[in-house]
Amino acid sequence: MTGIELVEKAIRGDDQAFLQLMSENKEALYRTALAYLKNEEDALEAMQEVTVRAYEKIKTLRMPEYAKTWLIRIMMNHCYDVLRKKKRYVLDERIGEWKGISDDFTYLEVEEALRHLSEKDRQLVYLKYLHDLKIKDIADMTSTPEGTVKTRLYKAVKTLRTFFEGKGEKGHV
Amino acid sequence: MFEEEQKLKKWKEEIESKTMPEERLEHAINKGFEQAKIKMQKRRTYKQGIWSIVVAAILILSFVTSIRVSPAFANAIASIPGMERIVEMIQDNKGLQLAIENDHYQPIDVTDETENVKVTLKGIITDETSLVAFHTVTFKEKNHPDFIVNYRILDTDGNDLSKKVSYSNNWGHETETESMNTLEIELNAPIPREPLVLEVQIGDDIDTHEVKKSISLPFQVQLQPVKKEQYEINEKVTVDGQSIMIKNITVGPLKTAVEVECAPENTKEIFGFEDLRIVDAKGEVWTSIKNGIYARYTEDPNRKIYFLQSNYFKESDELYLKFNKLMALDKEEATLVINTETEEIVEQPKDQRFSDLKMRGLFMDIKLKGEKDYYHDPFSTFYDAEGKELQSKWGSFYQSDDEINNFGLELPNVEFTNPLHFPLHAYPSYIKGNVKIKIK
Repeated sequence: MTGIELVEKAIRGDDQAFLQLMSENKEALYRTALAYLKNEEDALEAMQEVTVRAYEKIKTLRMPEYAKTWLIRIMMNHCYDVLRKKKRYVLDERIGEWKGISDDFTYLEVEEALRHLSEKDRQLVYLKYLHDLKIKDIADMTSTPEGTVKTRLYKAVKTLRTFFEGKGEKGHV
Repeated sequence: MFEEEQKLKKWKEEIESKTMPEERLEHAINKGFEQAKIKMQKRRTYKQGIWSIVVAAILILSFVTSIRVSPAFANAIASIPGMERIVEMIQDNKGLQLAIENDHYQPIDVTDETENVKVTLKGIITDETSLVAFHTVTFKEKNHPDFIVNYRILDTDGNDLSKKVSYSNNWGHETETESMNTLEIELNAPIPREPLVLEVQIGDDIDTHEVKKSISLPFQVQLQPVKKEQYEINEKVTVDGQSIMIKNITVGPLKTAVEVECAPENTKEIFGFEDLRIVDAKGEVWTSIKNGIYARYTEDPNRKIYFLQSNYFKESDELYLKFNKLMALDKEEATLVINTETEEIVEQPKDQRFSDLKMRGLFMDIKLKGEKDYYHDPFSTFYDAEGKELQSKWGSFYQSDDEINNFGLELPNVEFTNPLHFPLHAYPSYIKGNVKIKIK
């Protein structure tokens, strides 16, 4: 069974296919949740919630070939909701728990810079740079012209650069 | 942009360096899936959500969408505020409607709540030892994990007086956060006249069903005590070679109970009467309980008690018990044998209506091809390969297209040996006759 057949079965209401689809995308979903929420427990909880939402909505998925992007977007929206409800940046409190393998501070630097993007742009960066999705796929999935996606992404990365260079104004979100 | 992309690459690597909690992720997916299933079922089966598996009781599940009531009943309820949704709950139960018409309904309206769940006891109907309690349940947050674990009736010292508990939900059409529930509790003694408490136990863990909080609704029964009428019948009839003895009939305000004994030498297992009914001299008919417990086992496997809608509040000089159609299956076919490890149906009745056995952890899904209006739950106590007796903690049911009944059962979290044997308690297979017995 190809990926698309699996997704089509899941859309038609095949529970086993749905579970397999979730399982196949669990890594991407978990990484996304982790990138947003910064800890395992919250990420697992998000995984459960996103499974519920995906099951409820899978019948509305019109383009089976973009099931992965579709799932990641559900996850990103959910995580954004979670963070918004908490009304604070998790990063500030949990930064101590995030001890990485690298010696430099690139990760923290990127995280800090990402905070200054709008949620829309941040999602774009996640799709492109965390999940390595093609600009064309992002464009198709979000029903945006390819050129627009490119421009937005370019601007977003440019914004990141200003922060990397220490030119970001404090409070300018 | 090279430098930025390099940084983003490092950032990605950092996120990917985190170990994945494989098993916990799978568990989270399964839990989410179950949660979604339950939510969808609530929506699809507007009348029945989840029911608690009642030991040694047989459930019938039905879906009624239009409301039909008699003018007399409409008149009786017009004077009681907030009855609309109760009417909806009992529209297929003439007996309870008669009780309300005859002022044998006590409005209560007491509310108690926890942080997330609010319960209002609307009113009660009683008989000698049981009571039906109508109540609304409101979940303040839509996706909150809290759910009702159980109900108990307590005296003022906190002693539990309940013997058997069953309940059904009726979710609101739009809100999904409020349901109107009917609860029937049989007490271990006649209904006391002293103050009582209806306790609603709340839990949030669908795995353990551990009680975390409780809601207390104090009330006192003011309805007149009632005395059930009992008729000894002891008449034997034969349908399609199967011998059946009607032993006795008890009529109370909540329901009429008919005790039936099937001869042990019968070749077929009689699951139930499709059209068991009481008819009076004028031709008025009282049929079986349409939504809820319609039969109960006794200690003798050949003896069962069937419940009909009550005619207690209807005076009549002549009464007959009638039936024409029985649900029955050859005894040697009346078991479903499954293997939960291989997800195989090992044995089932010849016409093979069971299919699609799926396991998700302890949760078992199976489909049964029914017929029009087939809403019976075929499962009750089951046994493992070594004869160990097992009970499901709870189950779910919804009917999808093509008359397919989807049953979900949660297996108990204990060790068992495959295959599992489920003696069937219903199956769409029938025998026909024409029986009329004089009650009085």
